[in-house]
Amino acid sequence: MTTILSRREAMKVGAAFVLGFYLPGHGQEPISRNSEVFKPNAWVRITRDNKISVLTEIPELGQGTRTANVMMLADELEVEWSQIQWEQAPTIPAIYKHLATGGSGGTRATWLPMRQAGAQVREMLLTAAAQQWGVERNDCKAENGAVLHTPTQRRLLYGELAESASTIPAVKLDQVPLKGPKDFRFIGKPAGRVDTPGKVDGTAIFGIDVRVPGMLFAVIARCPHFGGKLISCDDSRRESGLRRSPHRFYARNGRQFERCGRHRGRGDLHLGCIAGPKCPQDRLGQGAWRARDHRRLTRATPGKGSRSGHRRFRRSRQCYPGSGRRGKEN
Amino acid sequence: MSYSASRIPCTSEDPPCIFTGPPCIEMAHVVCGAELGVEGPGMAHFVLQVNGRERAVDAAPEMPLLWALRDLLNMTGTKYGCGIGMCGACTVHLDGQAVRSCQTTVNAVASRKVTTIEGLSSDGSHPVQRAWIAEQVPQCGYCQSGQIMQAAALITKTPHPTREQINQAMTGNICRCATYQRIRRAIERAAQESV
Repeated sequence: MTTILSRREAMKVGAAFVLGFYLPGHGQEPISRNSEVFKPNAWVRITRDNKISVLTEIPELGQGTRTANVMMLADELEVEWSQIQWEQAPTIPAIYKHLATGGSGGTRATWLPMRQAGAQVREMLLTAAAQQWGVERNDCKAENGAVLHTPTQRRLLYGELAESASTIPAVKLDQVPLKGPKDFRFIGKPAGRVDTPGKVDGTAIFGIDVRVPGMLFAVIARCPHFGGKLISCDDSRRESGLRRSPHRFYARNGRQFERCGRHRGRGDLHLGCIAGPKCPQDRLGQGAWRARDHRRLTRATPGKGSRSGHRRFRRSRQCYPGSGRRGKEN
Repeated sequence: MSYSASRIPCTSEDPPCIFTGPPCIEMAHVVCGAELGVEGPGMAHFVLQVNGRERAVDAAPEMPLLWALRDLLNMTGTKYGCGIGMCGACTVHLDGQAVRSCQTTVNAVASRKVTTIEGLSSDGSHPVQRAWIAEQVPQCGYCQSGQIMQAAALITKTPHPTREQINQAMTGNICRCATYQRIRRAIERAAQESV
């Protein structure tokens, strides 16, 4: 049994926090909200007026994974770099398998899926064009956001093909032909980050910026006195409209502050506490709560794992200023 | 150690604030419901001049401008970093001066003109913003709103800053990704191009 959280475990925890990390395209209405749009698979959106959008799964934390993902898909889809937009894929884990990031695995994990997604759509568009012209599919070629009939030099933009392509059955993702490295146009070549514009004009949405309907802003109430303990909890403000939705709230700071036992399991907002002797209603005692609360933060379900390990982990963190590790408890 | 100097103690009286001691350094946000923008005693009506528009907010007078912008006006481009004026992520302009919005109360703002990253230009065309893209400055991007606002104030005041002046002006803006070299290059570029 491990006694402290491994880096990788910590990464998993981190990943859970960043699921909502959503950076919309540079002030543009996401294409996928438009109903007049060709949705060949979960990752590509094409409108009639030839706007092409990629839904990328890996949240961008600054490592450029999103840009890499757009490159991978754009390369296989055969579009112009300037033509392609991006959006963050919605949080639907049943469809999108790579909604978390961490452990330097984002680009690696999406290397095949993103390319296959692009290639799948390219194949559908090629078939649609060949059917429309009544020509051999092998004479058609995808390039720069259009299908070209090589013998006659006829061209159809992807947007023009979008409607008819939506009736073409998709080739299975693991059976689509992929490009070889020598044909890569974007992969391996320098490109500006696709998310930079949003980061210089304030439109990029970070985790802390996410707003959902009825959202509650929680404040951690911490003991103002060094080494103080909880003696009572005041939930009267709950009635004054402070709390608007049922969120579990933990007010904790090492041993300075404990969650009030009275609210255990009720999911009440716990805001008012004063310094003094230990809360008489906290029957479990501080150490137990410390371990339990930490487990709740690190795992979705309590009850598993090493309590002493978590305690030790807590202890290891209590060297920070103000975290209030004092005395010999635990 | 006097770490409470930069903190705004909660003064709510009804219900009385439960925090009576010196504010703790870890109370990075606000401590009392009155400061959250919920209805209650101690609230006041303010009309802020934000990005050229009049925006009305009901807030406790001691509410930091940062939270009025983010939580009440829903302008999330300005970021919360440390809450104690140490990192610069929350930098906005007050009458053209770069200030830390986490250390500026709505009461203190009064009728002065607030400019946030959203209002620096309507289309991202401010010389500093353009230079930021040209130099591909942001990595994670979290501090960059504050960096850009600080840099824009510098360029306005000193159109051709020396390297030393850039270092001096930007020293209070921290970037955890350490994009400092690119930030400096971008400011130099912006200074050249905004001639």
